[in-house]
Amino acid sequence: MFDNTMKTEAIPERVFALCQQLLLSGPLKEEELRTKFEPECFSDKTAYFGMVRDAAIQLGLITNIPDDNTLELNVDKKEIKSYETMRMYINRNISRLSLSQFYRTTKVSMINSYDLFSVDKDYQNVSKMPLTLNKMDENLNLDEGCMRAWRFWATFLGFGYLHDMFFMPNASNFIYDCIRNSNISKNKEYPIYDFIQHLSPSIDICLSEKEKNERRLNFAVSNAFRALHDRGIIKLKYTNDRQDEWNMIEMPMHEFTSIITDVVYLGEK
Amino acid sequence: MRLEVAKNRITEVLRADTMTTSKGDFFATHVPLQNIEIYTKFDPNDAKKSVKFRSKDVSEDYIFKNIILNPEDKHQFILVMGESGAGKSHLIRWYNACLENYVRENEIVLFIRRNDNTLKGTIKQLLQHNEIKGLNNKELYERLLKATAVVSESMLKNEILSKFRIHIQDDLDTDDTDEEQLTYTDKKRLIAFLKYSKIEEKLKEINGPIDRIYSKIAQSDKVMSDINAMFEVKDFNIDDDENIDLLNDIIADADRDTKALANKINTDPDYKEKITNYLNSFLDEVIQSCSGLQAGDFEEIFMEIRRNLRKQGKSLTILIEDITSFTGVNIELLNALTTEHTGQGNQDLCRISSVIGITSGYFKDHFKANYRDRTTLFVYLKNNIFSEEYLYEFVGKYLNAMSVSNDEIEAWAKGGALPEQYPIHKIDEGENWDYYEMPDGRKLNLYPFTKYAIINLYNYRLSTEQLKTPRYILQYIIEPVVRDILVDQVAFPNVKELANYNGNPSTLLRSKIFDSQSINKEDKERMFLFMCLWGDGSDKIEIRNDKKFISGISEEVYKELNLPILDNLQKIKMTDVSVHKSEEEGKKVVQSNTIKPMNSEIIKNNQKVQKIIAILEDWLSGGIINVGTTAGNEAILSRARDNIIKYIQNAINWQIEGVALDNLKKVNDSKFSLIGFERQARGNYLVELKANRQTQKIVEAFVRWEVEGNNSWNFDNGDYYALAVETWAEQIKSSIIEALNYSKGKNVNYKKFAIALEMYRQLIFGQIRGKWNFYKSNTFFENDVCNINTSSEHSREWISLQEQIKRIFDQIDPRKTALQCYNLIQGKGGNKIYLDRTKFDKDFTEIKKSQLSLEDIKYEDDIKGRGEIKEQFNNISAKINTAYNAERNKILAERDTIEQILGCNTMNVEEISDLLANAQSFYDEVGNAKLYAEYPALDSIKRNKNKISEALSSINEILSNNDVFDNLILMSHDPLKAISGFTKFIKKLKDDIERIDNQMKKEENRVIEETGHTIRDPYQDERDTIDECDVMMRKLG
Repeated sequence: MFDNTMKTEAIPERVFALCQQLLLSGPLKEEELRTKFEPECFSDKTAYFGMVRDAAIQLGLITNIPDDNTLELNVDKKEIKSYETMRMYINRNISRLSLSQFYRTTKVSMINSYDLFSVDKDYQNVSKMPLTLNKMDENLNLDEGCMRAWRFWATFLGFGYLHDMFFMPNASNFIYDCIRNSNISKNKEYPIYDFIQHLSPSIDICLSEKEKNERRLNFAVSNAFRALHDRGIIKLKYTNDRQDEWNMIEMPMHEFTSIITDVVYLGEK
Repeated sequence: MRLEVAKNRITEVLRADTMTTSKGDFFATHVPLQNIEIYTKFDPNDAKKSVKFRSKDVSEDYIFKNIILNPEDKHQFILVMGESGAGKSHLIRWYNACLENYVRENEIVLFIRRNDNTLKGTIKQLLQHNEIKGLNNKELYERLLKATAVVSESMLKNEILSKFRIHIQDDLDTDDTDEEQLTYTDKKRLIAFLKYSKIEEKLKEINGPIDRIYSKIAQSDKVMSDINAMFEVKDFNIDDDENIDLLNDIIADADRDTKALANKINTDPDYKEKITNYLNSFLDEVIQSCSGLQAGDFEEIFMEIRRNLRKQGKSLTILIEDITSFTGVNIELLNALTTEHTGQGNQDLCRISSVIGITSGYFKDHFKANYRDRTTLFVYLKNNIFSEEYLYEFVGKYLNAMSVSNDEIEAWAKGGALPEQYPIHKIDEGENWDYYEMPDGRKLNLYPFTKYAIINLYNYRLSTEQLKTPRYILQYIIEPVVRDILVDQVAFPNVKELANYNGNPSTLLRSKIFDSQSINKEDKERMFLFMCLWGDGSDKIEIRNDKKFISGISEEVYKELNLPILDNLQKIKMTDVSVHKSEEEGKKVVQSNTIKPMNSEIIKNNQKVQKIIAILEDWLSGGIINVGTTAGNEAILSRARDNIIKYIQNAINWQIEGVALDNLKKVNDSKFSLIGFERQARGNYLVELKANRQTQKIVEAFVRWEVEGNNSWNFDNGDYYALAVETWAEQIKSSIIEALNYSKGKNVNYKKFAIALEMYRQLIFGQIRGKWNFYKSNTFFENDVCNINTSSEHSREWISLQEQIKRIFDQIDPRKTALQCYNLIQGKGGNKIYLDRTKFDKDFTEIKKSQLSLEDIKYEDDIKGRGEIKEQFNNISAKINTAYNAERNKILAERDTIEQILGCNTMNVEEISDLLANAQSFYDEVGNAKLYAEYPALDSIKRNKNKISEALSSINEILSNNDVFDNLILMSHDPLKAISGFTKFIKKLKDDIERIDNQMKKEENRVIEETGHTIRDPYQDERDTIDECDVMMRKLG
């Protein structure tokens, strides 16, 4: 899933369940572990376990003990206490996946998020996204199956929402994790640039260097900032005399139409 | 405004009736009426038959100079007509005030104010005039004096009712039945009806017909305006819900005539009108006689006055504010006023010019045609034709009058009320607010109103034509708003009646206010209302001469009211040209930005959306939302609700949030929607969306998604609405998840009940082996649903339980539910099972350890698919004991039988083999002895001796152990079935032995009988030898 080709079967829930089992039982032989999830009596269909295992290994959550065919946890139990902690762990380490198809697809989707959002209705379904994304980056080599797999992790990790198989870019939950993973202080006013620096390198998956240089937040990140502001998690500010103004995607109806200069992290809601 | 002054002045300035206003305030608040039309002929039913007066100038001033002053000195009878509050009294009073300054010599002006609008009050006024005091007819004067005497309310009301009955009785006695009115019997019954105590009470109660007539006769402190002092059809409503008790009383205990009349009222739809008209025909006579007047008195009074004035060479102008002041005598009054001084026999009368106020309704219903024909002019005051400028001046003058002291105003009035000396207050509050500029260039401050507020309030608060009159502008607009600012400037505007205002404001403005994190929650509605009602509700900031106007209101005004200042709206710099007032459009400002032309589809869609927004505004204001309908605009709302649900179902990662997709499916299959609206007309739902601004925005988002985006977010501001929906869904997510996982505050553990039901199934169907404690989840997975063994030896109760379980599993399949609740599904799922194993094992172990004691988990679940699993678990659980006991009893009975036959209840395999061998020998011997006993089928027993031995052990274990679940497992494997062949065999063996013994005894008896000898014991020799040996052994010691 997090190497070259994304696999639909390796959904976050199954990866989490695998971690939970290893947390409970300790290291287990792979075959024994497989039958836990796919008991023999149900395994008349293709086994999914291998794909789930691979995803968990690629995410660094579990590891394979060499020559023993045994799997064990590779993270502290606090990292897999809940879906949220697992998500925060993955997001904290997301840049480790930077070569993966998932990472590259996500980055292209985030940077081009306004185009994806505005794409003609006939191309809005996730399975049609390769038609658009492969044009945006021809090295992605995406097909329908890849995108169906991508959607599970893209929504889980907080890069957007699905509405009737239409991906709505909004990186609010991802950035919220990045904030909590960072050492950003609560109730302290940060100029946007500083704020974003604190979220690096994780935030690089949704914000390009070019955008940073141009002081421009793409649609997914603009949505994230606005949504977190609306949810009371951060407070956006516009201060007249700041030299460093950042432009969000223009949204006339929102409280912050475009320009922001500072952010305050208010805390968890 | 000067609030300190206004605090004391508001009540005296805003007195709704012109009669009670001081002269100074009257002048200071006068704004020339603009709603005047004049007719020479007026037909209220057919406008075409009305004839307009020749002059196009119908201003107050023109009418005064050319009509009221009567330059041609001719007989005039002028009616001033209009709805209640249209300004009739004000106009007549204004003319009276003008006449004081301009009246000709020899012209006597007699002004009859409405006063308390009673006949007594009117007579009292008349008695104060010198013209009346000088009446020659002293007897008549005495009667007038007597008419003003005070009589108690109850006495007078009784007298009024009694007089009506007397008039009916007199009418009855004359027996002069008018076919159009009532029959003799009807009249007789009507007298009884009016005498019936409960009817008397109803007629005399406040606002009843007798009370209304009474209020026109008796003098009171109250100002009675436009009361209909007569019977009305509605007074005889006894067949509606409100009067149901009265009708029941009549049916129960009224006399026969009253009952008969009540019955006719209920059955004949026209009958109430007949009674009403009939009673009203006596009205004048009743009022006169109750006032102590005689027929003709009033006509005589005015004729006398006119004769006296004629003698003095004077003419008379009479101004009457309200004709109903003369209720009871108005016919006589009209006779006196419409009689010209030039007619034959009338030369002794002076010329009279009369101006009489009359409501349009009274004119239409009661002003008879012969008097209409004698009317010179009809001055008609139309409703709702006030220009914006008139309204600004009207409001401005009242606000000014409140802010100027009474002394200053009265001094100005005494000085001739000259316009150029009109006192304008010094502004304490509202300097930055709007002003009305008077023709002389001086300005009236409009605080606490803006010009937008005056127009918006006029259109909103005075919602019907009848309300659009000066009286209601005072009552519903000026007074509540001024009192509001007097009470609390911090919360202004805070008039309850304004809270529901829906002025079709900008959606953008709404979003800017209600989405804002920096505006206090409690300020939002206040601010929104203020910007929409006091401003133009637009989403623009206009910059005029370096000053900001947000939604048309000066920035300074927001500051004064401590309201937040929006700065994130579109800013438009207004040029001098663009702020120039268009002569054609009054005060409308021409904006410099251009508006894009819209195609018809966009316009149509926009109209659709606006209609829905209006429905939502009504809902927010306390109305009902009609979702569930499939036609009209509300069908769009219903679809919006459905689309919100679909969005929620898509956007939430249910499994990650701890909601099994099976749970969601069961909710979707139920009669409950995932979400519903507060005050929705029909339907059940789990999560209620409150009627608030956020819900409004979300519903609006999905309405636009459908209407404007054609089921996509590709529409103007679609990105904003999508973001709003995403953010809202994040915020509401926890409550939706809670609603799915909890029912009435308790966790819905239907998955545990499903597991437990499947455990019961596996248990009762013999799919578990060994001890209950060793039951494993793998066993649970492997044991798929199976059929009932039709040849079991189970008890009837056990089989019945199996059948019931089978039926349940055929219908609702708890096994599938149990597995699906722990299946980690990708997307919409399929048949693949990938278990959330740790969770399953945890629950499995907990349920197993509890020995399926889930009865303690008590909650009600309205979702059928979930609730029935719990219900069926309870049904099965309740029958387990019965099945267990029945099975145990049957096993016990079988064991006792075995014990009786064999003398023991357990047998190991060897013992069974010995038994079989002995049995074989027995049957062989029997055969050899030529006795008859059929060989039993021993082969299957030989083959199953292990199972038989085990089953016998199980049976003993069941009967000796107290662990129900272990025993159930043993029972479920049907040990009786395992030993059934063996049991048959030993029973047969026992029977055969007994039978063979009997046969042998019979044979012995037969031999004895035939030979006379007993049959020798075949072992007798051996016995004898043993006995001998025994004796020898004893001897040896």
